[in-house]
This record gives sequence, C-alpha cells and structure tokens, in this order.
Amino acid sequence: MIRFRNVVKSYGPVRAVDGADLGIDPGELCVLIGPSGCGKSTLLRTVNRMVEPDSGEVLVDGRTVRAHPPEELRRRIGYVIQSVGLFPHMSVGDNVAVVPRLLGMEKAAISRRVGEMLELVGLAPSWAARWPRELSGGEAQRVGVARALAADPPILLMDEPFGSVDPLTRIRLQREFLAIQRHLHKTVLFVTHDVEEAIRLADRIAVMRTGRILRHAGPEEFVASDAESFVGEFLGLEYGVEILSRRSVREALDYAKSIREAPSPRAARTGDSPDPAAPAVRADASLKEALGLMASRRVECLSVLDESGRGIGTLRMEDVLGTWKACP
Amino acid sequence: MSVDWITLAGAAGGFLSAALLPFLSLRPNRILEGVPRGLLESLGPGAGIVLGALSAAGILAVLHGRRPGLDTPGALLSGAGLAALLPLAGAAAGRLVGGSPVARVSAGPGFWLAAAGLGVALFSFTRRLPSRSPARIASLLAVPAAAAAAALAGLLDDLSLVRELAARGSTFAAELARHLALAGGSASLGAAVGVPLGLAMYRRPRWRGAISVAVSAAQVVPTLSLLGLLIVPMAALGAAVPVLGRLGVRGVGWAPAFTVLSLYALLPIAGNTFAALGAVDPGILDAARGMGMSRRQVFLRVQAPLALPVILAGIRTAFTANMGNAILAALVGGGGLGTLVFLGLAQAAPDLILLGALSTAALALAADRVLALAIRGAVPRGIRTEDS
Repeated sequence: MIRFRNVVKSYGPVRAVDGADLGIDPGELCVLIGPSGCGKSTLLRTVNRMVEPDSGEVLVDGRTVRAHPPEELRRRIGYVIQSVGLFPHMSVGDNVAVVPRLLGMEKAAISRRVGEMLELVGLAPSWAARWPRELSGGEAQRVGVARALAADPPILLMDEPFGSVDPLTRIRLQREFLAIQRHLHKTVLFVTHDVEEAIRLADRIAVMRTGRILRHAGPEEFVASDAESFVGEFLGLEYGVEILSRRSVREALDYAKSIREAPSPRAARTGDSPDPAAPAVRADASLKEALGLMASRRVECLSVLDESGRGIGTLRMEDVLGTWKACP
Repeated sequence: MSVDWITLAGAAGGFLSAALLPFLSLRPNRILEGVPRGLLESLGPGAGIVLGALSAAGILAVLHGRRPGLDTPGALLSGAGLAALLPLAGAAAGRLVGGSPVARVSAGPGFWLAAAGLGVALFSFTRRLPSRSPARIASLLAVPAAAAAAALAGLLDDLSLVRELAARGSTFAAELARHLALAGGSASLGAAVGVPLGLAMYRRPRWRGAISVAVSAAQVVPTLSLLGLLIVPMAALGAAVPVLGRLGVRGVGWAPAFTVLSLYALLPIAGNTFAALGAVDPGILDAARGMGMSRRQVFLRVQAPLALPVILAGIRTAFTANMGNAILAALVGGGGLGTLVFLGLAQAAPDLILLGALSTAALALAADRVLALAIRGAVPRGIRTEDS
C-alpha cells in the first residue's frame, strides 16, 4: 500500500532520511519508532508530499506520489499531528467537515458524516456545535482523529498524535483508536518515540536511526534477537515485560489448559481449580498487569476470575513467561 | 486587599476638591477673569447629592473586602452621582448668570475633580460586575443619558461651553465633519496601504527590513516637523500635477495634514498585520496544508481569519490615534476641531479651547468604543476574547 524506495532527504549538510526502504501492507498499522532526530517524521511527511524527497521513490498503491498534485493527494490521506491543529475559528463540526468540503461533497452528506465521525471517536454528534477552545486535550485529539477520517481516506498518517496528552488519557485514546482501526482497517503509518505505545498499537514496528530503517517486524519478533544491537538498546530490557501487555490472562490460561492435555509435569498443577489463597486477577487483564500484580504481592500464582467474578483457573508465573514463546 | 484603595483615593480626592476648591467660575463675559464660586454657593442643597455620592463611594470602598455584593450599590451610587453632576451644574449656571446674555459660567477644578473621583469609583465598581449585569449597564448608561436629557431640556444652556457652542454652531459642525473626514479618511488610507505592506513584510523576508524602516521613520519624525517638511514637496506636487492642484494639494491645507495622518496610521496597521500573520500557530497551518488546502485556501480560510483580531486592533489603534492627532491639521490650515483650539488660544478664550479639545477627546473615545464593538462582531466566536 505504501512503499518507500531508497528515500533520501537532506536539510543542508544533515541527511534527515538516508536511504529508507520500507513497505507497509494494506490494513497494516505500522509504527515508525526511533530517537528524536532519526528522520521518522520527515519520512512520514514524504507520503503526503509535505516533504519532497531529494531522491528515491514513495509509492502509494503502486503509483508514485508525484503522479498526483499535492493538494489532491493530501485530501485522500488522513493526517493527524501532535499539536492537533484544530482550527480555533471553526466549530468542531466545521473542523471535521474540512476535507469533505474540499472534496465538494454534498451538504447533507457532510453533516451526516460529521455526526458519524464524532460518534466513531466517542463524542456525541451535538458536540459539532462546540468550539475547539472548549475541549480538553484528549477531546481535541479525538476531534483531530475524526477530522482525519472524515473523508474516509484509505491511508492515515499519524505523527505522535497522542504525544501531548496526559498518560491516562493517552492510554484511553490508544485503546479507542485500536478499536476504530479493528473496525476500519486503514493503512496507518504512526510515528512515535514511545516504546510502550508502539507495542500497544503496532501490527509491525519499524525501528529507525539516522535516517535508515534498521528493522521492520512484528512486535513479538523483536524480543530475542536484538539484545546487543541498537534496536535492542533502544527498545530496552523492559521490552520483554512491556510486550506482555499484548496478551491477556485468558490467552495464557487457555494455552496452559491446552498443554495440560499433553503429559507434562506442569500440567497437573496449572489451570486447575482456583487457589483460594492467591490474589485474584480478571481474565481480560493483560499479562503485564498480571506480572505486575505478582511482583507487588510477591506471589507466583494468581487466581483468575471471569467477567462475572467466577474463578476459572490459576495462573502461574511460568505460564506468563511460557505463553510468550509458545503462542503464535 | 480588604480596602479598595484606588476607589477610596478617588472618592476622598473628589470629596475634598469639591468641598474646598472653586466649583464653578462666573465671568462677566467670555474673556474676562472669572470669579470662583464654591460648591455650596453654586449648588445649594444639590451639594448634598455630590458629597453624598462621593462619601458613599468612599465608605463602600473601605467595606469592599469585608462584605461581598457591595459593587452593585457602589456602581449605582457613583453612577447616579456622576449623572447628577452636569444637570446640577447647568441649573446652578442658570441661577448665577441671572439673565445676562454675555455672562459665562464655567466648571472649576472642584467640578472636574469631583467628576474624576466619581468616574474612578464608577469604573472600579462596574469593572467587578459581570459584563451583562443590569446594574453595570444602568450605571454606565446613566451618565450619557442624564447629560443628553439635561441638554434636551435646556438645562445646560447657561454653561459657558454650551453658550460657546451655540454661538459657533455652524462652524463647529463644519469643523467636526472635516475632522472626521481627515482622521477617518487618513486612517482608512493607512489601512488600505498598511495591510498589504504588513502582508508583504510577512511574505517577503527580504523586503521586511526596508518596509519596517520606512514605516517607522514616519513615526520617529515629530508630527509638527513632518508637517513643516511636507510644505515644499506638497506645493511642488500640486504645481506639477494640475489635477491634484485643483483638488487642493498645496503646501498647506488638507493635503499635507492628510498625508501625515496616513503615514502615522501605517505603523500600527502594517506592524500588527505582520505580527498577526506570524503569530498564527504553525501547527494549525501544517494541519491545514496536510489536509489538502492550497496555499490560497490556507491563507484565506485559516491564516487570515486567525490573524484578523490583531489586524483589526491595529486599525482601531490608528483610527483612535488619528482622531486625536487630527487636531494638528489646523496648524497648516487643514481644518478640523484644532481650528477651534488654536482660535481659542489666539483669542485667549478658554471656552473655545475647551470646546475643541473636549470634543476631540470625546471623538477619540467614541471611535475607540465603536470600533471595539464592530471588531467584536467581525471576529469569529471561537477566537473572541471577553475584554475587547
């Protein structure tokens, strides 16, 4: 869907992007991550021609982006930036309607679309009449996402979109965005320097340094192989713990129960009836949370409860660690 | 912060001045020396209203921190006192002139300082009230309403300023119109040139320095010397281009005055335009471009509307300043309210000076308020601020 071929962009003597190669599949949420100044924002901005590369090629759907006038190209690519950039002199509804209007959509269709988009990002359609200055940071960025999606672009470029909101809001926005993405299957290029955010959102992570893509792989493929390299150093040793946030307690328990079928010394003890003395964890909690609970209570097993609070098994530390490798 | 010291100082100063300084001054004719008259002598029982309002304002200022909710009575009382001042003085003038058609009664320091004290109190009390509260609106409107009613009722006819105005009614109207045309026209020309200049400064960094120097140069030269400097080139221009000459472009007259005022209007307008365009959040412009707006659309739909309040504020500054500065046009025969001032100086007639000066000040204030309201209406609601 998006393909960078040997893209180079220099600013004076500095090579911001230095021969980047990367391919992003349709429907993939690719997180571009790297330290400040690694060229990730510059690379992202070559897709909608906000930055023109010195050499190399950026292809969208197999065609070079230079085949389209920049304005027309940009109207078909959603764009969300850290500063949000809502237009303060326009109501929330008019902000969301900007691109549909630029595309000349019909009035009735636009106002319907504005309502749908606001609902999609969890705001009531009546919010269309509000003004940007009345919104909190998190609300403003929701409107920013609604605005980017309003013309239903197949591609979404997001440049540290949740970078300027508080940590709790950020996690909520990430979760909501993931839910929207599961529903819409946009091709997303998402720039961040926050490893946790990359782990939570990415289908694949592209790690960048000094203008080059060092590695592009699924989040779970990073763990073992990169311990000594820059990639491993940048992701940090805690990556092994952070990655557990992608798996739920239920998955680990199911896995543990599945290997109980096989003859194994561990099978006898795992996934059995709940241990009443163990601290309780909900099945939909992440393994990272489960591990955190174990660490803070200094225990090695937790009793797992389902949504109704019924005990459905026991989770052991080794299940948490084992699931990781064994689950596809 | 329990005591509102500013209001207290204003009220106390007003009270002492009203009680101790000459309140009105009676002159046998418009040029002779005046005889001072005290407050009691002038107003009789009416003095109680003035002193009462001033002392009430002072007491409320002292109690201000201890009891909330005193701003409403404070605003109403000081508003009523200030509103009563002019009709009271007018009625007193009628008694003092005693039927003489040439005798003049003018306001003395006691009157002015009492008015100033009540004005300070009114301003402080109303400022703390919510912008749309009935007490605020009523107390602020009471003053012009009472003045207008008293004028219509003929109550002010014996005040020397009104007598001066009546004697010069047609001149006054003509000079007022000329003043408005000079100040408003030159500020409009300043806006028509200054906004594009500010835009050019923003768009063309290379021209920035040159434009900025040129625009500021006009501001640095004192107004009077600029008027003098223009005599020769303007005369030459009028002689060289007959059409202009016939329109009245000469070394003296309206042309040099209009030119100087236009030049003075340039700096606030061009400067504000440049600053306003540069102050638009780059993130917003980036978003506008990234969403597929053309350069033109980014400018017209996003940047210009966001810069508008500051650009309009510059135009408002220029208009208000020109309303005052246009008084100097009279020095080179350009006409306007300055004519009355300089004529009054020549005749040693204080009433005439005051008539020119007060009406100029009133004009500047009125221009400021009217433009502020107009700007409020023109600015989109999302970026409107409360204080304009």
